[in-house]
Order: sequence, then structure tokens, then C-alpha cells
Amino acid sequence: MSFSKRWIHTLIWLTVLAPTQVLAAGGIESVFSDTWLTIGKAFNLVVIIGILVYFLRKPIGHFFARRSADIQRRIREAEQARDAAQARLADIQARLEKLDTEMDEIRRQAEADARVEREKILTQTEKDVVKMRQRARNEIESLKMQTIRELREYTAAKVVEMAGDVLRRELTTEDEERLFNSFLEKMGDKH
Amino acid sequence: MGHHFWFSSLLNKLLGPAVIFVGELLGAEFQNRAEPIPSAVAHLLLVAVLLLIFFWWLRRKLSVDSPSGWQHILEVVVLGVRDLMDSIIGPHGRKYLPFHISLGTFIFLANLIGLVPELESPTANINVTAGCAIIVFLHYNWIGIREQGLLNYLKHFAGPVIFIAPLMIPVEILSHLARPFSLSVRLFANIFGEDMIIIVLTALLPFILPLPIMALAIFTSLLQAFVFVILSIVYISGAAEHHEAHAH
Repeated sequence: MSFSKRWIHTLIWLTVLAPTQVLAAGGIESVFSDTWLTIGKAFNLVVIIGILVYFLRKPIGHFFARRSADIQRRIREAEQARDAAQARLADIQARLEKLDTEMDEIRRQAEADARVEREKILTQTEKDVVKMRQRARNEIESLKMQTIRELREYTAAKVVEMAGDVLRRELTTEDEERLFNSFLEKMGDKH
Repeated sequence: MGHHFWFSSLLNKLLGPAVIFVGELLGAEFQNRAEPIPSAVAHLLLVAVLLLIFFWWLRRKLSVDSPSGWQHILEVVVLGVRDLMDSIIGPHGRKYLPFHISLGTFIFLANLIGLVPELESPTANINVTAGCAIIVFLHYNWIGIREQGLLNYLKHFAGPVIFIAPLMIPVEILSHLARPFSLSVRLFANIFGEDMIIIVLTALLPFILPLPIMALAIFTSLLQAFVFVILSIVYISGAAEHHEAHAH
């Protein structure tokens, strides 16, 4: 039988026999009144606390240290996140404060640009008006000259046509012979 | 047990006459007028006062960036129970966390204090464990009634199908009544048994022999407190689940 088994058997037998021993000693009350019970409990408590402290101090200490480090890391991360958020907030607030000034500046700039643009457009329009007027004048002059030329041509054609009519109406056979003879004479003189 | 614990004797000496006076005004009769405050009640009050002092002291030392060892331990316990409640009841169960932490720490210290010489575990007395169990019983039933209304809460005693209601109602009532009984007897029997074994072993051989049982007692003190708390959480979850099942 191994040592541990023997130990367990002894413990079981003691546990089984204990009540009979207690009763034989005069009942449980006589056991309680024993000062050794108090001393024994105190001793055992100190021993068990000592054992627990001895075995658990290191792992629990490591656990606390790890947890503390983890907490510190999380606090640092939270602080960084908070700082970043505060910086963004300050930036946004600064922008909001500048917003009125920026808007006035933009309005002033826009008004100045509009004025310049208006002047430019007016000048350009005036130039365009002068150009258009000149072009219209030229076109009118050209049309007038063309019309006069066409009227002259028409008048000349009409005069010739009317002269032809008059000649056809007024010219007799004797006049035609005389004119023919006169033409022949002139031709003979030339040759 | 006829043993006189020093704390019980002290409390009776200080408050005994006042307790008898008030008790008799309320019509109570005291069989033991020399010690009107029972030892278990005296130790129960001691545990409560110790816890109040401990938490008051710890509250003053709370630190976010460099927690003390006790704060670490309590944080681990609170977060553990919170996660447990989240997984069993759901996030809406977090409002019951203070109740369970108080109950758990009280039972744990009450279990453990019996290891200290000349002190007694209040939980080695069935009246104390029954008191805790009845509080749990009333608590979870009250939650069920509050969340569902009395009629809806009572409906689930009838079971899912109406024609088996005559069978289900007595079974459910018995099952609910068995809960405080099992809670109180389990805790009482464990702690009482342990304390008795430690006393007997110490009587046989005051040194070394009771050490394994004392080590076991530390473990079972924690285990029994945990079992008590987890069962309370499960009972609350049952009351809340019925509510959700009816709602769906």
C-alpha cells in the first residue's frame, strides 16, 4: 500500500471513529469546551493561510500585474482617443468661429468679382454695339449702291426699249430706205 | 450546540436586554432570556457588518488607473457574474447584478467565517440558509409577476396545453416550492457537515489532521456560494423566459 493510500485510509478511519470518540469523551459539548480546539483551529487556519499565500502569491501577483498593465494600456488608448476627439472638436469649433469672417470675405470677393465682370461685360457690349452699328451701316450703304445700280440698269433698258418702240411706230418705208442709203454711203466713204 | 461563541455572548450582553424589551413589546416570547440573540443570528450580523466595513473601506480606495489587489479580485468577481448573467438571462438581467453579488459575497463569507476559531458559520444553521433561499424564492417570483403581470405569470404554471393543466399546476407548484427547500438544505448540509468534520478532526488531533478538510472547506465555501447564486440567476431567467415566450 502506497503512502498516500495509507494516509487516505487512516483519514477515513479517523473520520468514521471520530464521533464514537467524541461521544466517549462526554459528547460534542465537552469537545467544544476544550481549549485545544481553539488553539488547533487557529494553528490550522494560520497554516492553511500560509500555504495558500505561499502557493498563490506568485500566480495571483502575476495576474494582478497583467491586469494592471492591461488597464493602464486601455486607459492610455482611451486618453489618446479622447485627445484626438478633443483636437477635432477644437478644430471644428475654430472653423465655426471663423465661418462668419470667411463668409464675409467670400461675399466681398464675390461682389468685387461681379463688379469687374459687369464692367467687362458693359465694355464688351459697347464695343459690340459699335461694331454692329458699323456693320449695319456698311450693309445699308452697300444695299443702297446695289439698288441704285440696278435702277440705272433698269432705266437704261427701259429707255432703249421705249426708243425701239417709238422708232418702230414712227419709222416709214421711205425713212428706212433713206437710212439704208445713208448707211451705205457712209460705208462707201469708209472703204 | 451548547457552545458559547464569544461574539454571540458579547452581542447578547450588549443588545440582549434591548432585544428582549422590543421583542416583548411586539409580543414575542424568549425561551432563553440569557441569550435572546441566537448564535447564528449574531454571526450573521457579524458577517453583514464585516462586509459593510470591507466594502466601505474598499470604496474609499477605489482607483481607475491603479486598482488594489482587493479591487482586482472584486472586479473579476463582478465581471464574471455579470457575464454569467448576460449569458443566462441576457443584458436586461444586469439590473439584478447587485442582488446577486451581495448574496454571493454574504454566503461566501458566512461559509468561510466558521474556519476562524471561536466563530461559527451562520450558514451552518438551517434558519439562515432558509432565510436566504426564501429571499431568492420571493425575489424571482416577484420579478416574474412584475415583468409579466400576475395572471400571465400564473398562466405558465398551467403548462403549454390547457388539458394537461390539472397535472401541470400541482407539479409546477411543487417544483417551485422545492427550490427554496433544496437551496437551503444543500447549503446548510454542506457547511454544517464540513464544520462538524473539522471540529471532530480537530478534537481527535488538533494539528495538521483537519488541514485537508479545511482546504476543501475554503473551496466548497466558494463553490456553494457560486451554486446558490447561479441557481438564483437560473430561476430569474426562467421567470423572464416565460415572459419572452408569451410575448412571441
